[in-house]
Amino acid sequence: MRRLLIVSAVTASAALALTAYQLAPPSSPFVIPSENRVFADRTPNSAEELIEEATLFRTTYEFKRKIEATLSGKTLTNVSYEGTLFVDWKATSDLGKSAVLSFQLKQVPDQKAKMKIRLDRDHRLVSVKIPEGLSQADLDAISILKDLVSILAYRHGEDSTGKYRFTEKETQDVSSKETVWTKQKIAYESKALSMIRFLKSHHETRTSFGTQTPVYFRGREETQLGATKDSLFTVSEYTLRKKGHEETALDHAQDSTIWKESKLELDSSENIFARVDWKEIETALPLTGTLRGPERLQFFRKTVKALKTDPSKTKALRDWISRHRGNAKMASFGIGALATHGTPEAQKELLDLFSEFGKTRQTKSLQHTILGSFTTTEAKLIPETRTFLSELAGQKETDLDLAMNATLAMGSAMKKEPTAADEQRLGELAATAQDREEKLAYLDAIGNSGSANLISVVEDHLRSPDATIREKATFALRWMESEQATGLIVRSFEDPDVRVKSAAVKAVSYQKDFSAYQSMLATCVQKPASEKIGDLCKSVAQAQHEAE
Amino acid sequence: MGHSGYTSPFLLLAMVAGLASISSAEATDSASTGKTIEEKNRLLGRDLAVKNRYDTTASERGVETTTDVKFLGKNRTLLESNVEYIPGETTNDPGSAESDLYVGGMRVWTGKGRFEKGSFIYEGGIAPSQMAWPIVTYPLGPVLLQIDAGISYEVGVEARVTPFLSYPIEFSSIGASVKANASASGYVEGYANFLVVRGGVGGELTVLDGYGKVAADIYFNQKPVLNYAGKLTLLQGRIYGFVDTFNVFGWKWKRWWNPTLFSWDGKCWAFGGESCVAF
Repeated sequence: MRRLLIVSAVTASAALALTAYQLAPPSSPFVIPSENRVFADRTPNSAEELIEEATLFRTTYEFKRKIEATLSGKTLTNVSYEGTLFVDWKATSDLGKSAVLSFQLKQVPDQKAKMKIRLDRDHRLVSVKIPEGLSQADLDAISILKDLVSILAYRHGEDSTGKYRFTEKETQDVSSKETVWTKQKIAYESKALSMIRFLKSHHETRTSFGTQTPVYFRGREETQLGATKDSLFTVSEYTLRKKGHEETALDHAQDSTIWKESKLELDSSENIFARVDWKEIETALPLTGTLRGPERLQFFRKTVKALKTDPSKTKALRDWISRHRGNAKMASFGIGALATHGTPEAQKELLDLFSEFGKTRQTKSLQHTILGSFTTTEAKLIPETRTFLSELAGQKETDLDLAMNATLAMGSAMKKEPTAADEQRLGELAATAQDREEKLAYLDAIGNSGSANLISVVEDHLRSPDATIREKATFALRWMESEQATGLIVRSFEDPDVRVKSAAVKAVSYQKDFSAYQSMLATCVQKPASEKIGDLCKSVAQAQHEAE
Repeated sequence: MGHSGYTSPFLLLAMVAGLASISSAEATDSASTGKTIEEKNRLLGRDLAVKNRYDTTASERGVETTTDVKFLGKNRTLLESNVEYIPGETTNDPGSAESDLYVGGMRVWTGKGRFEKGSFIYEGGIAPSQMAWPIVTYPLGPVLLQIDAGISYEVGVEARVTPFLSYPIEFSSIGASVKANASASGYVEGYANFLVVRGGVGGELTVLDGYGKVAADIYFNQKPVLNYAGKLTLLQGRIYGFVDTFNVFGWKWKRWWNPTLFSWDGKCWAFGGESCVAF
């Protein structure tokens, strides 16, 4: 009954699809004749062919792989493994195929792996799924399956990852001129750029799939890593021999495995530095109040990594911060972790915490901590956060301290990602400064922003009779990279007040291009206004020299 | 407005009340010039250094501290903090105090400040944060790695100004101090996996941990007297590399090479009554 249903379904969809179906070979520099492809040409010629494809069937392969890795000519590893691969196929409604792959390894009989793949009607790999909740050993086993899949899912040229490059040339001798030339070329590239991976395989026998003829597939891959004289060289030889092709009663629709999408990559092992389990963090979070110094920072970094590993834990950390609002040390730890993680979700949680903390006087300081975190984080602030800061910066009458702190955070956000709206807003706010303290605060915010578009505000304050304002305005130029900024810094160095001179020299230390200041620094070193200024100039000049 | 000081006049009562502001038992190292504490080393073939400077400000009416870090060859200023007395413009104007805190070059809020026992105190600090360094490429044996690196840090500052005002003004003095609690930890990580071989670099390094304080008795007609206190551990930690090979039969990775690329017990600086000796 099931078979009849499947046949009916496929026939019906095929009837609709046949009229529109066209085999459209993708454009590629590597044009492979269809007879060289692993899979037969997929154009269905008849309904009977489709019916055949619709049937559940199992193809069994024997595979064998030998890997030899050498380092500076010495053998690093020399292993081989072999086993049986089972591929259980069925047709899909879009004229493609899906399959569940599983294997048994002779050397490690307990180690099993399972994978689901889907091919489109051109027999190209569309998706790869692996079961959820795999252990690391299982993931390593998956890497073997992935290698086998990449052989089976033969592509015209490069696959979507770009890591495999198959050629149409059949070369028996790996030391042929072409091979050597290719290696040399890649070696050159690896010197110029970061590490690369080169894979070349040679197909000796044409294969076809879906027929009853025996299939014998043999390949050889060579990998050269790096470009140093100690280059690691791996050679692996693999064979994949089709053993059987028969109908099967297996129906993977009954399979209760929970699958998750996976990328087809060569390396299944994850970066051992990147992942941290949230459980580890949850256990240790209560200790943050007692940790100090390097231990606290080490745990802080782990917490940020754990959030990156599992972003859904952002809410859990937010709730933890809220519960520990009475302990400033613990709460600030969590706030710092969220801000450093910096995702849109994390920022929204911080904004949510900000409004929650505003309800009691006791937690006012935590609001300042959140604003401070927005100032120091290297993450770009989302529009919601920037709007929040912009609005808070304007609420001087309600809470001057929060408004000024928000202004500093606004400036910092503009340094990472300048926007015309924020520049205009900061310029407008600066124009409303009523007293000396507000002027200094807005100059600080402009300094944080490094926005050369606000230089006119700074220039006005460089003419102030108040030396403190002139000092602050001078230092606000530190991240502005323009001729006008350079001119103003050099002019400030001529200021009679030693604080303004000092601010000018310190501003130079933040500039990327020192060349415009060489004369100023040289004069300063030779004829300093004070010993202190002279020492400062020497220090900046030395840093410049070392940077070159 | 914390950062620019409290503009209320400093009362003459400060002369009597400000006794404990700078003459603390901890500040026993004194000098008339600034102090620099610096350590240098090399990591992954590149310069590693940390420099702390404690001194009076350019105007010599306050004190300041800066911490510069050079990590994988690139220099950044981690912390700059100062407190300064600004004299009034008239004899009736007792002046004001200014305090600044910059972290990674960014001006950070230091709060409004408060009066306590005749001193004006500013406190500022930030939650833990992180600075990323540019990626560097490092050859570990046969493997070329791209190294992610950066510094995570946490900073707190306490600044204090105590005026001892007298008339005529030439007999006045100012007490100013700034104490920076800072912890900075550098990290390096790089990883690559090539089927049967994987390699990596990892580890953490205490760039700086502890506190440094500079306090100054500032006079109107003579050189200031500076006092220092603090305990700092600098450049301590281990960075390691590894190359693993995959053993099919054991179905596990086996460590093939595990070099230590940097290992140092670090240097402890203690001054002003502090001690590096641990029991």
